[in-house]
Amino acid sequence: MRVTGSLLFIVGIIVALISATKLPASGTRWSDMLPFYVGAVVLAVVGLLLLRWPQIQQRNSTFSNQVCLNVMALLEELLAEMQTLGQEINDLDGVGIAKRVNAMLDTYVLPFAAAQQEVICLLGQYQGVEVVVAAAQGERLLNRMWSAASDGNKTEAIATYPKALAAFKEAHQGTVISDQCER
Amino acid sequence: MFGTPDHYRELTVAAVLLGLVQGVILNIAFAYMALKLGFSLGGSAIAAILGYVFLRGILRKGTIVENNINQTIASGINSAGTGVVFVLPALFLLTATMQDSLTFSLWPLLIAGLCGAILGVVVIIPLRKQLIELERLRFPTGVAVATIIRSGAAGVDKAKLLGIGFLISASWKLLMISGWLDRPGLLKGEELNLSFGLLPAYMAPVLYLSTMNFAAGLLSGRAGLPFFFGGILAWWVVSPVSVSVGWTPVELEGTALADFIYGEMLRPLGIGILIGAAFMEVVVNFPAIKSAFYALAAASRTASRSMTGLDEIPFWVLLAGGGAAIVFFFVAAWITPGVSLTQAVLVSAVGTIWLGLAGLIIAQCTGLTDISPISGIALISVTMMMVILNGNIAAAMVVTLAVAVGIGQSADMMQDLKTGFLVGSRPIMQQLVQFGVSWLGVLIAFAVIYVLWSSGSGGQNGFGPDTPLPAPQATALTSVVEAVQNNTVPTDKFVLGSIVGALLGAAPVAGLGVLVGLAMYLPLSITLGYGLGCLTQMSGAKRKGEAFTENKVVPLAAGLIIGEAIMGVGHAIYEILLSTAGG
Repeated sequence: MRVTGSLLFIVGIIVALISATKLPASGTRWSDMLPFYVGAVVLAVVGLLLLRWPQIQQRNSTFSNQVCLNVMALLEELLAEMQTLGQEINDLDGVGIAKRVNAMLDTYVLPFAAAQQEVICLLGQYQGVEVVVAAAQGERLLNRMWSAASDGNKTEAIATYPKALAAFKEAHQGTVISDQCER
Repeated sequence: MFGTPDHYRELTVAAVLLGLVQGVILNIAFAYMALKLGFSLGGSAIAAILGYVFLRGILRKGTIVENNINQTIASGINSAGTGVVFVLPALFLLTATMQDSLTFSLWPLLIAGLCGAILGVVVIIPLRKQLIELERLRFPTGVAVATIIRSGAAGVDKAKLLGIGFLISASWKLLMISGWLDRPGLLKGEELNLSFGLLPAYMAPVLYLSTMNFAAGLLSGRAGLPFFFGGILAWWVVSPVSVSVGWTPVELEGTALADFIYGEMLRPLGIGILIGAAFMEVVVNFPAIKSAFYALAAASRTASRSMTGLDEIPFWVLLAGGGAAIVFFFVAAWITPGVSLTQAVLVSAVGTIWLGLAGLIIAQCTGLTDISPISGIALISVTMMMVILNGNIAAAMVVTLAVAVGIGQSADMMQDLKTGFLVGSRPIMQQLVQFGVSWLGVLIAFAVIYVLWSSGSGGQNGFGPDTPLPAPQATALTSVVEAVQNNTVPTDKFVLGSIVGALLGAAPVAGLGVLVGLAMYLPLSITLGYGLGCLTQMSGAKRKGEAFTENKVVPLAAGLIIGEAIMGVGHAIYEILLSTAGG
């Protein structure tokens, strides 16, 4: 269905664009290719519906649960790493904090960000958006920790740490309460 | 070590003053440059580099987020001027050609420009979460600026890559400008002819040899591919079919035929697709956008209890600012000669809605490709408003000016917020300074244009065709006004294109409609270079992983973008000085 949908959509769009290109004859508003254009648009609409259908069905599939589990695992590992950082942060210097934050961004946050459209798709717009926005807030605060630590302002980096942790906890909580993510 | 132990410098007097000074200088220089060459630049990269030198190098206490505030202010003032420079000169040029049949006052235009500056920021702030956190748009220049700001602290390797990229790009640009490599029929004006005597001109077999263009593709990767395919579709499918079935005038051939296809067919269709796609993306993403609005309103209410404090500008401030701007927008329209009360109400309402939609279009285009079709939106605005206002040119220009300034602010604000996200700035700080200073850019650009126009003989014609400042964008806008007056606007292309754009916008591929529309709106030479960048990044990411892209490709691409920008500005200044010296 996905392949048929893609094919109908692409062909419909190409034919619609080609037929839209013709200039109207002098004194008329539309070209004589308008019927072709309308037919092509209908074809593209049918293709679009077929293309969107599997996405709706995907929400209940095993695959979606697997993506959910992966995302939850990423957030859990990140939270564990952040808890460890919390215990050691006072003993680290600015360079050390920046290095640890950078590693967390590369290992957990970027892979989570890469999967976030699927998260929204699986958890639904409202729940998914809540999770992604909370994680993005956490990411921005981690970036702030990195900047402050790199600037040598350890106080700011330490002050930002609990806020970043809270944001990621909120994101994780969002995946836990969702009935789409079941262990 | 920089910064004091207790206070992390962010919104400081030094950052604000430096941003203001840089913004004013960039605004004046780039307004002049736009009249001379037909394009302008954001100036964020230059402001960030100078901020780095001044705040960290000279004051020795600057921080990363403080420099972000500096470049936000500088680019905010500068980009407000860009909108003015694209529109206001057209009105001056029209008064010169139409003599007594067109009179206008500068006051409504100035009020509209100030309203546009405020509205552009107001309409885009609630979409920060949608565009930056949910869609994660790339904003190549925003990423490049973040890389500059972080370069000192990001480690020697990244700084080296940034420097290497800068050197390669600046040297390449210099080589292109010098024309040493130019060969008739193969390479001219930075464009490589790929026809090899086989491909016809209507297939646009030309590659723009811009490292900045390539680097924007490098930063976008897979997400930018629809832009590449859109260009291929336009020039290698639609264009040849149109020629082969005889839809083009038989007397045209070569570049004249290619120009006809581009100007009469592809470009208007592209504008239509952009509008339809942006509209549909608002519809498709409505739940997310609604959620972002709720979050903004909720954050305002609960800020005092929240752990993170107030991170976004309060919702009531946006509502109050937006409301006041709409009222002044109405006043600007109403005090324009020939506009009735009903028309003023209609114009302020439609103009504000259109500004919001156009702001989203421009922000998405900038976020996806680094290219902002402000001139295309200005053309649509003037067409739409002339229809609503029964051909009242001065009133149509009032709205067009507000829209041009507003959309420039929307794109700039979002780009700076992307930089801020990457360095961990508090969005509210950036939003407040942009709110506070963008109006200044309008005033300065008005003064610059007025002074330049008055410097001509008899106190007018200081710029325009056959002068040292040809004002290409304004000349294009005047030709559209004349087209509306002659009733030759390609309405069919706009309508049919917008339906296709809406379909593309509803497809489950992020940014598909906007990217295809932009690809049809631009020459293929730009699209090809960008596409090569996308493919190169995808190939690198596949072989070496995503971390390689973030740690190696991003700083290199940032250097490529900055190198060409700096060399381009330097060359423009050199050309201007040369022509001034030559009389």
